[in-house]
Amino acid sequence: MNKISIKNMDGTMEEVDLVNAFKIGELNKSFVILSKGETAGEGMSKIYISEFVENTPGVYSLIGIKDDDTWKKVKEAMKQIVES
Amino acid sequence: MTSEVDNILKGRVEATVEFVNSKKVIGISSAHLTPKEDGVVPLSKQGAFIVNKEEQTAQIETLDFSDTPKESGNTDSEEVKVDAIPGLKTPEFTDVVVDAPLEVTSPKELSDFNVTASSEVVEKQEPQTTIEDTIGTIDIQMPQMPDTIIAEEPKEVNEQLFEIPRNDNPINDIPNDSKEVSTPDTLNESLSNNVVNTVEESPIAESLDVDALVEQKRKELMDEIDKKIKAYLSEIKEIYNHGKLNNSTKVESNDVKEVQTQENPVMNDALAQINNMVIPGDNGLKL
Repeated sequence: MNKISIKNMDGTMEEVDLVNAFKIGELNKSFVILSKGETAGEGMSKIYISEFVENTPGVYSLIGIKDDDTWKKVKEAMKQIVES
Repeated sequence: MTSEVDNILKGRVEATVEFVNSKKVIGISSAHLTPKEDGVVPLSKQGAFIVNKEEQTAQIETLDFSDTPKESGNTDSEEVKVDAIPGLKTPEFTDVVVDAPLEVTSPKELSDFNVTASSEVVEKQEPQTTIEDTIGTIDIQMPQMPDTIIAEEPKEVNEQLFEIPRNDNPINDIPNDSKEVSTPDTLNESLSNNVVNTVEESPIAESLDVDALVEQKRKELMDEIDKKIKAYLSEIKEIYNHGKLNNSTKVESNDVKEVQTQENPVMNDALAQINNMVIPGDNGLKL
């Protein structure tokens, strides 16, 4: 699994696993799935999902997901990824 | 998509306040994050973003095109209406109208009357239109040229057609004082009794020298004027001679009404009459 480094708000760098990154054409937005290898009990693993934008070339900012409709579409996309 | 993954891997990622506040954290089965035998994590599959050609073909085949008109794409077609062409025989169609239903019965024997019923098969024949019916039969008979040559076409120009007929017979009997003008014999054929026009000219007309006549008239008039002037001058001399004696004399004559010794009006009047004189018989020609 690919690993990336995220620059946190305090300036520290955090290395995480890049599970997947995809773009939903209907929304014209890109999303990223990250994993820190954290478990959620009973065979579950914790993952982080966020929208990311390219503010400057080569620099991508994670901005989260605020809209519920967007979050639904992201979950549908994740199902399709798993089932593909 | 693969490009999105590559972009993230190649670029630099930084968290924002929004990410801290609104990131989605969920728990999924660890199996989705655990690599399987092929080594690919299920949630990291990129197959969801790659179009499978077989699936695409299958989806196209399942599409329902029943609502789409078959000839809808032929937007440039125009209906061509052909009127009847004159001279061509149009096909005639006969409409067969059957009012009563046809009953076809099978032949059977009527034992009681010992009569065999017969039935005829009625067939409705559609008029067949053939090419000959459509075009029609037009009999065109071309004239046949005769094999024998009646006359040969003249190769040279017939000069006689362009010659003017001449009257070669000279006119001998012409009087000296008259000229006979006669039309050619060919033209006289259309006239009755061979009329010959004779024009006699006057002797004066022979000498049509107008200048000589005018000069002659002029001399005659000048002579008359000269005589009158001399007569007037002699009268004037007499008046002068008589006036010298009487200092002032009023003389009346046929042509001179008033004479004044200083202005010489008699002379002026005489000259005016001379200028107004008209040559007799010469269309009012003035001198």
